[in-house]
Amino acid sequence: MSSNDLWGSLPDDEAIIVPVRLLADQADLLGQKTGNLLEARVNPVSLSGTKNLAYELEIIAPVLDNYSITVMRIRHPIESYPVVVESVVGGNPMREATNEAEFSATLREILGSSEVQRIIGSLLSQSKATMRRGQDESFPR
Amino acid sequence: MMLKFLFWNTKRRPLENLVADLCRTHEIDLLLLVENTAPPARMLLSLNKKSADYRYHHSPSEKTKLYSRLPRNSVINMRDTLDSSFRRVQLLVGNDLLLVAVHLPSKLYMAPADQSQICTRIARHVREEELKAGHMRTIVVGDFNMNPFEDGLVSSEGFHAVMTRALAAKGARSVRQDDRPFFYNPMWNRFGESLTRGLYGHRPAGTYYYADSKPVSLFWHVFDQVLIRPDLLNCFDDQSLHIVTSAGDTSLLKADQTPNSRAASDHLPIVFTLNNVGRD
Repeated sequence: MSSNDLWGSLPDDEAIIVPVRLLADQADLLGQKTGNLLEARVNPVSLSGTKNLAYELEIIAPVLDNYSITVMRIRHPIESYPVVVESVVGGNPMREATNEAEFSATLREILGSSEVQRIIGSLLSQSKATMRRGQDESFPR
Repeated sequence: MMLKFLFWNTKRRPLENLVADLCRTHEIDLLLLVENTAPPARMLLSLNKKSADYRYHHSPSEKTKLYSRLPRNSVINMRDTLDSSFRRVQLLVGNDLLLVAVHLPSKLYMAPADQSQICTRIARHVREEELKAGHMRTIVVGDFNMNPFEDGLVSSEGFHAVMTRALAAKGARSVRQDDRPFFYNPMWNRFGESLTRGLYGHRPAGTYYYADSKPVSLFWHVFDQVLIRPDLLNCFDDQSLHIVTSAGDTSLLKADQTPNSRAASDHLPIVFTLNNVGRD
């Protein structure tokens, strides 16, 4: 290490599982589980007047003209925890997770909730319903 | 980064199983379809039968459908017209591309002079989008319904697509005191039957076959083309460009070696690769 380097040994970033990474993993899984009929993405949300970081999880149905719905939001300080988790579509909207295990359990609860499952079921059904149209479409040539 | 492209006019048919076979065989990253009647949900189920690799990139005009193995936010719709779709392809690393998909009016409904006018219009849109993007890393791909030697493709006021890399590498030429940028059109080299078998089987004399009773008949046409701006010449691999004649175990040709429009389409697909995309 150069004597001009006063940073010391930087921590291994792979060892830190930040909340947004857990959320992004779940977003990827939705595409894999539905053959990309439904996808999810994590969008950063800008918060004014605070140094907290915030993100939302959005479900998208590409074949339904990119219909999208936000199902949850999180916000947390730069140190990652505690995370405030807000379920946008269900009851019991706000809760707090003080560590990774608690956050994981909260995600499981929200993503597996009847409200989110109902939305996923409906979007999947409507996406599959589009398979019945289109056989006789004519194209301007 | 390497990107493999497949373009196919599927003649108002779904053909999702053939398309999925092609994508698997050629490890396609970007799939562009015109005249494809498979609802995107059905195409996705076919493409993703083994694993969820492909996604559908919806655009307001569904005339050209784009599926890819790229992340969702890698493809941004820029402009849609009746005959073209402009998309910005952002890569994980490096520079982005302008991808223009076209499906120009058929000779059944439009005279050659009118087709050329449409080319002029789209070429103007290309230059407008390049100015907005601030670069000329552009490829135009699609069913032009015109051959590479026709005015709309060749003219400086149209696509200005030339037949050699050396010409295209000059970048532009001045026509009556206005600089007009080139495209390279590698499809010139795909005219006429090859006596040797290509990498993917018999190499046909074009991408579309039409026999009529007029005195002058070309029989084979190269309507399906890819045009490359000089800024991407280093990325484009001529050897990767193929007119495809089979999908999995299914031949896309009849016994007489012309496109099998009953089993598949009256057009043959084309595949090509861009290497080291995103690098300066």
